[in-house]
Amino acid sequence: MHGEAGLVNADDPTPPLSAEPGDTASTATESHIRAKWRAQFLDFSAHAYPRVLQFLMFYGATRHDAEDAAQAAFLDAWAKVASGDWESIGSHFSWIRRVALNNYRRPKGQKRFQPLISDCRELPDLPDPGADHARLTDGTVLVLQALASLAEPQRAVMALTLDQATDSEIAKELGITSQKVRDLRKQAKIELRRQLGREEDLR
Amino acid sequence: MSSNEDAPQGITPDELETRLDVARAELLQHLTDTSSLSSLYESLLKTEQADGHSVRVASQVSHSMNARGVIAIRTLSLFLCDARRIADKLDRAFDLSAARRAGHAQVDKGILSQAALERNLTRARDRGVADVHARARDLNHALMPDICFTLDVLAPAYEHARVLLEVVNRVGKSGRGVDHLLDQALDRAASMAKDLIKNLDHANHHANTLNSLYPGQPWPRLSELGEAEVDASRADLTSVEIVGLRVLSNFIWSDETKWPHHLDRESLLENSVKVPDGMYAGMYIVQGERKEERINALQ
Repeated sequence: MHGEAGLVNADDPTPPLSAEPGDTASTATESHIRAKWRAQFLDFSAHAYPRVLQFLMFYGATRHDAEDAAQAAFLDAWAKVASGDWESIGSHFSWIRRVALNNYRRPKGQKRFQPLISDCRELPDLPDPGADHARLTDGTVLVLQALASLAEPQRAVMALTLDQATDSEIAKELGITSQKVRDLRKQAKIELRRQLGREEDLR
Repeated sequence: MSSNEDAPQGITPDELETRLDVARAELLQHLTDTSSLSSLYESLLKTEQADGHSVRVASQVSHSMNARGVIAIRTLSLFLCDARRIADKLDRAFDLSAARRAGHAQVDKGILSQAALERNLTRARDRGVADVHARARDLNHALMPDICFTLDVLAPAYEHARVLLEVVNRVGKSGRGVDHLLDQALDRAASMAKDLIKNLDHANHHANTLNSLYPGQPWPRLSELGEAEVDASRADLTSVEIVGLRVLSNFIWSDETKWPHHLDRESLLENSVKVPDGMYAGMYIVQGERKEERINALQ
C-alpha cells in the first residue's frame, strides 16, 4: 500500500479497508492517531449535532425526521473516523450537513421524503406543537413553516444562509455562482416577507 | 418573479431579518437543550462494538476511488457548471417579461420610446420568442441546482437542449431581416444551444463512466469524493481524457506516472511543486488552492 489514510491510491481500486492490529510496525501510532480523532469527533458532535438538526429543520424537516437523518450522517462520519478517512475531509461540518440532508431527502436511493410543496401560496395550518415544541414561540414556528413553503432551491439557499454559510460556500454546495445565490436569496426573502406579513394580518 | 413583485410586500426587510435571527437563536438553543447526545453516542458505540461490517462498507467507496474516478467527477462537474451557466443565460435572454421590465427602465430614462418598446416586443412575440423561452426555461429547470441533484437528469436535459436548438433554428429562419438585433440574438442562441448539446453529451459520457465505476452512488457523495487528494504516483492514465490541469489539482505524481499524450508535461511541471521530505519526497503535487497545507501535511 503506497498511500496513507486520506489519500486515494490510483493503482489499487480495492485496498484494505482499514489497518488491522499487527498489520504494520506503526500500529501503535495509528491507534494513537485514531484515538485522538475519535476524541475530537465526540467534541465535534456535541456542537455540530444540534446545528445539523437546526439546518434540517430550516430546510423543512420535522424534529423526528431531522434526528433520523442526522443520526445516520453521524454514523457515516463515525465510520470514516474508524477507517481513518475523517481527517481527509476538508470541512467536517459542511460534509456532515450535506450527508444529513441527503439522508433526509433520499436515504437509500429512494425519495423517502418528497420535496415540500414548492408553490405554496398559503401558510399551512399550525401543526400540533406537542411537547417537543413546548419551548418554541409561535413566531419561530411560523418562520419554520414559511421557510418550508419556499421552492427549491430558494429553500436550500435560505437554510444554508441561516446556517451561516458564506455565499461562496453555498455556491459551491449547490454548484451555482455566488451571484445566483444572491438572486435566489433575494427571491426567497421577498416570499418570506409576503408570507409572514400575511400571517401577521390574520392574527 | 413578476407575481412576487406585484404581490404585497408584507413585513419589512428589517423585520424579516429580526424574525429570522430570533428564530435561529431560539431554535438552536432549544435543540441544544433538548438533543439527546447520549443516545447519539450510544448509537456510535454500538456500531463500533458490532462486527464492523457496516462501517467497512460505508468507507469502501472512498478507499476504492482511483485517479480515473476523481478525474471523471471533476470533469463532469466542470461540464455541468458550464451547462447550467449557458441554460440560465438562455432562459434570461428570451424572457419577454424581463425584457419588458428592462424596456420600461429604458423608457423611464428616455433611452427608448414606449412605442419602440411595444413594437420590439410585438415583433419578438410574433416571431415565436416565447416558444424559445419556454424551451430554455424547461432546460434550465431540468438542470436546476439542488443539493440532492442526480445525474439522471442529464439524459432528459440533453433532449431538452436538442428540442431547444430545433425551435431556435425554426424561429431564427422565420421572419428574418425585420429585426436585426433579434436575428443576432437568435443566432447567438443557436450557437449556445449547440455548445450546450456538446457539453451535455460530454457530461453524459462522464456520468456513464462514473456509473460503471461507482454504481448507485449519489452525486453529492461523488462530488465530495472528487475533492480528495490522489496518489497517482504509479498510475497509468494514458487513456484518460484530461480537459485541463484544473482537474488534476492536488494529484501526487512521479516519474512513474503515465500521462495521456495530449497532456502538456511542461505545463504540468510548471504547475506542480516537488515534495521535499517524507513519504512522498521527490514526487510532485499539482498545485491546488491549499498547496502549502498539502505539502506540510505530506512531509
